[in-house]
Amino acid sequence: MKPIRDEFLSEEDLALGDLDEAELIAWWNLWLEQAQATNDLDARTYSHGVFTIEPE
Amino acid sequence: MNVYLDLTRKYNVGALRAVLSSGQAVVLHRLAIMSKDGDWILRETPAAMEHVRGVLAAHAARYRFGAPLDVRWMEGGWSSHLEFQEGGLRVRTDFVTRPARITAEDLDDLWNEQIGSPLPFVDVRRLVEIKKTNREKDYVIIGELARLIANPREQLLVSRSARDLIRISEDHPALTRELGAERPALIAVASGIEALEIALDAERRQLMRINEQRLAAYAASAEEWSLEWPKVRREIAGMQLAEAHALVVDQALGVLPFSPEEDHPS
Repeated sequence: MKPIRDEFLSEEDLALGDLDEAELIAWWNLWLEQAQATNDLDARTYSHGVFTIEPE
Repeated sequence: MNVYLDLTRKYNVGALRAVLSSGQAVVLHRLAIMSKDGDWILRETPAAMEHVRGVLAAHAARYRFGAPLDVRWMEGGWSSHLEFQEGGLRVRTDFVTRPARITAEDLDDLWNEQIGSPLPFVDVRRLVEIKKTNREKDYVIIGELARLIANPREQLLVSRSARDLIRISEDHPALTRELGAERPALIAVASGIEALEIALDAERRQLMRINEQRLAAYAASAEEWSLEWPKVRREIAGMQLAEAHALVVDQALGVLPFSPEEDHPS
């Protein structure tokens, strides 16, 4: 029986390690394309750096 | 081709200038894809910034609210943010030269380690530090990044799994006790898994508060610039990036201090 371990990410997330480079890039690009659906929701926010919101 | 890999290669044509960081570096470590935006650590030189601005100009990038991509602000720890549209993607490009929680000496080492790399991206240990933000989701990433580390000392210093820490401590009890001085949560290993889980939660909350305070200091220093920005944004709309950059610098001088610690520049 596999010991219980603390889980942080899904099996799908961790499966990136099983992809070859071409598969990784294809999956990555598909993910980026699908993520565009939320562009309106995060139009003014920031993912990195020291700024958090763009002034209107 | 992937846009973030393409940009990283273009930034580094002829010289090492940019190391891919944060969420896109996490992808290259074969963990989750969780970010739409690109983040790079740049060389803190005018030449590196001019080259990167040239790459972005070729993509018709525009400035977002942030610091000018100029050494004078970047050496104060500010971040600079640009964006362009390409192939149906909104591509955000975020830059720092002084990533949070990375010492100057460690940053020098990073640059030395990346020399000759065909695709420079941040290593696991430094990514863990960069990910110690005020966002819960970054601690999930740290939890898995820690499992990529082979060295027990470094694992004990960064792991977010109580089970993993107890297992490592059973193999390295003296090291665990020693590192308790550096990471107080490890002291709770001796009290069992529940105490350790509570200590790890408290540690995470403390790290988040520290980053919140850091961001609050920058926000306070950028207050006047944030009031000016809507006007600046209107003025640079439709401009080529080189022209927009000159205007952003001109407008930021005297409004956005070079560093949050200093008074406004004269």
